Amino acid sequence: MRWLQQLLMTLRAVARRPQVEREMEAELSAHLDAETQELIARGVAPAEARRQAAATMGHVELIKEECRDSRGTAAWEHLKKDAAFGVRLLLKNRTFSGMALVTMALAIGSTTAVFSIVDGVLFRPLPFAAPDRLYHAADVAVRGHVDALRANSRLADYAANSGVGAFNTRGRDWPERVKGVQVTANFFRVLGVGPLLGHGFADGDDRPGRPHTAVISYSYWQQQYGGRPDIVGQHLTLNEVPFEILGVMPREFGYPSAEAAVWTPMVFDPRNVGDYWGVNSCSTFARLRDGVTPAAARQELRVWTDRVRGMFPWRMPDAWASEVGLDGMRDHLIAGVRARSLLLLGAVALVLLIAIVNVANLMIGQTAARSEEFAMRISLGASPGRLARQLLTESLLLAVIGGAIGTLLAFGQLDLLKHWLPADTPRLGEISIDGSILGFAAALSLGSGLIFGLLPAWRARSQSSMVPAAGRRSTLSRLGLRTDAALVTAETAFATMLLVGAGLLLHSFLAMVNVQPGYRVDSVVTAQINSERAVSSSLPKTLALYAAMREKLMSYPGMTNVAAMSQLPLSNEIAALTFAIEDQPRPPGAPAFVLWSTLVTPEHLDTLGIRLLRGRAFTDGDGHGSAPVVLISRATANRFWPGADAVGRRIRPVWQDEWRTIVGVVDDVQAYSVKGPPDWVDGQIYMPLAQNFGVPENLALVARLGAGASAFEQSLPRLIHEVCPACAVSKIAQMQTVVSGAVAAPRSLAWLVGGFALIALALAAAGIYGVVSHGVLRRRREFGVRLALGASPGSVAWLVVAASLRQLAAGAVLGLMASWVLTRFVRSLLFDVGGHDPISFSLPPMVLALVGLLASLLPMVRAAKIDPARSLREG
Amino acid sequence: MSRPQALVQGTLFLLILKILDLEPRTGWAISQRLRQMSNETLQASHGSLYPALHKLEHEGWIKGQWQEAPSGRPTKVYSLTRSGRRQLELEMTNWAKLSSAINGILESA
Repeated sequence: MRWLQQLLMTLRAVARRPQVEREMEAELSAHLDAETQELIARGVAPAEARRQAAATMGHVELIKEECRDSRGTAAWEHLKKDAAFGVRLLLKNRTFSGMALVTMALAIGSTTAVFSIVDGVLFRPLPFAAPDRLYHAADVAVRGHVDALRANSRLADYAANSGVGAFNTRGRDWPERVKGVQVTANFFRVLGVGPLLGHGFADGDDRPGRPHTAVISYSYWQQQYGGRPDIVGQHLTLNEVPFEILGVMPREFGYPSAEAAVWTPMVFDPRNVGDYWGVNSCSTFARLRDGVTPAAARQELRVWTDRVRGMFPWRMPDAWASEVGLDGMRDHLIAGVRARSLLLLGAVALVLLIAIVNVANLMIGQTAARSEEFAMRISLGASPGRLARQLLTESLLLAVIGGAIGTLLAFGQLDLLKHWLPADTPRLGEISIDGSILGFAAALSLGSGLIFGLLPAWRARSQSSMVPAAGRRSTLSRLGLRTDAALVTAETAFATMLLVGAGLLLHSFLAMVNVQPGYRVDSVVTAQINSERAVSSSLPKTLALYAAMREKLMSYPGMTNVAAMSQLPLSNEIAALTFAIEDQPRPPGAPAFVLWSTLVTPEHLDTLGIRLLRGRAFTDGDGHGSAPVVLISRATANRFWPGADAVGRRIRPVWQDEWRTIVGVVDDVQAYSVKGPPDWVDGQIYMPLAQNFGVPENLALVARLGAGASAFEQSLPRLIHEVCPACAVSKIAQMQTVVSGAVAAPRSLAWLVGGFALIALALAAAGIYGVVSHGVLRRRREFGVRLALGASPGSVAWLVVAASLRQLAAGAVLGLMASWVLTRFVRSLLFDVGGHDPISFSLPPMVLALVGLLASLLPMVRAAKIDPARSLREG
Repeated sequence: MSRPQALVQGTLFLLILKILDLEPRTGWAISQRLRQMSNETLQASHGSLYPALHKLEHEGWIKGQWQEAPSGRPTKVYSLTRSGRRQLELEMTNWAKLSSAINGILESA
């Protein structure tokens, strides 16, 4: 308890300082009076008595200072004095404080904003109950597999959801699309999140024959139903079927995607063999039961997966479920963004480091300029430690003010960043600057202040120029020179690393943009059509509907051609099917070939401008009743029949007996993403829509016009609804927008890191200029002597440039070496560019050398123009 | 810095505690007493007494109270607290040990 009492006394001394000071004053003067009285009583004359009393008393101010020390308030008093002095100083040296504050505010602001993103995306616990007990079950994708685990696992509760899909729902005039996810009945319970209103699904709601039920998101409730409280029990029409609304999820719930507006039960029906065993429709996760280790759960999962293999109605390839396993749910969710988030954090950290170096630099310059003040203070009795403390207080003051401004900036920067980052960044909506982020900013500011304050403070303690000098020194101490060199080198190294990183990303982004998608992107408008059953319940009906839409659109002024496909290009939706190839038999147990398959109408090649390389295109004659045909891409032909003609060979989907004849080879296109198809895809084929058996789920329209694509975009829904009032029209976009959207993530990353690199370059230039010009200022006596002894101005200028060049070169080499090692962390983000891309590694040193030389130019000229007589006189 | 020269570091605390053990006193009275008790040998600048008093007060071993002096002006009177009494016993024991140890060395050497 004593420490508490002491703390209270210290606090009292600090808080009620005037009273404590008054008491001290009173006590000491009472002592003086008593002593004087005593001396008078002994017969000393009053005036002499007072003098003697004061003499035995000692130095009153010193005593007071020691008393303050005893009470633990001295440190506080010093801090206040130093801070007040620091503020005066900052106000006096406006250029210095302005530069330092702007640098710090920018760096702290950017770092805080980026950190809040990275923290929100990577580090925050997931918004589920006990999220660390949740694991993603990799490679568990078939309903039968999920069902077996749900029924038999003793160590974990398994649940699953589909990807985000969409339903037609009733709009005011026409059907609209609403995004929805199918989930197991225990989905919400396993995640541990209950609804805000109503209740979730009951066990068994995911079995066949149950009433249709749905749970809706908070935002859908607000938008569609105005947040009316009696929503539970109402009905919602999804694909023309009424679903009873059971509940509303809380506002912050958005799993598996923030886009999900509706959750409905996924139907587990073992009698529907195709859906139950044949479709990879589930993303599966598990909550480990109490006391169960992940290793045990993994073991159980493997055992059951082996049993499930035998339950399949057909033989599964040996590679099936080979990657089955449990990964932490958060690791799984952030796997795609971890690299780019950490890269951003790294980039902004480098900017911060450069900023710290710069401010340290400025501080050192200030300290040097104040050497006379310090010398004076040392001779008046200040200890070197006291001076160091003063410097540290000043730098902390700078850091705190800079940090406060920076934190304000961070709010704006965060908004900018959120706008810039790709919209698919997980949990982007949750991110905000809260208490812990503010704490981070404060710690960052103080930490930076410590770093850039300790350096000059340490220099102030050790530098001999601080001691009242017997004479003026003409040269700089070796230590001072070395510190300056180290600062420039460090700054150059950091900037080099950032430039290399930005170069790699930019180069990779350009490579991605320059990918020829293989089809026309200008003046092409795409849209997705989802019609009600009445108009598209059979393939003939769908074809008739398409024919009507095509006729309507072809009458639009400037329309060149219109086609339909089963899937929009670059939609990032999987459209792969397994095929057998007649002359390429697979051994038993080996997986079938996976081919990217698109259903198209005959106009497809012309509309998208895809070149036919061999054979023929589809015609209106390729329909039901005629021989089944297929087109394949050039890469597919080269892969399976290198050097031979692919036309005339035959393939078939594994579940069909009829062979399809390859009638033509067309140019390669980027159907899935600009990076090409997923690596497990063996090839790309097209089949005529008219030869399909069922009705494709979506119909993608592609229209090419001579001009006026934007106006057409506007009128497209009206045109479609005139033909088909029962059709929902969604994803209307120009192909150009789709293509540029496909590179949104690499673009934003390249621009962000590029922006940080530019800031770094500017800071580095300012820093180099500062160091070099300070060097010239401080060595002007030395230069004066050199000039006086006959050195040419050119040789003095060369001294300056040579020093800069040496430091720049050292920094560039260090930076390149560090980048060489670090690129393996960004390699996963690069496309078509090696981690050690020669361009990205050779340009930054040149840019830096140029910038560094430019920054040294002015000081160099100044050095050459030194007047020896004046410099020697003024010293 | 300007502690009474003859005093071993820390013994000033012991002496103050010992003086206050008899009765509460003002700072000045303590300094008078110090002089008397030591036959005027421990005569240092009086001021250095106060940091020590403030330190002891901060430690909670003595307590200062403002009282009215016979002259009518307020003076600060220090008295020993309970934990100060314990501290005094402790320091006296330590001192006894230390001085006998030192005496032992001095006599045998």
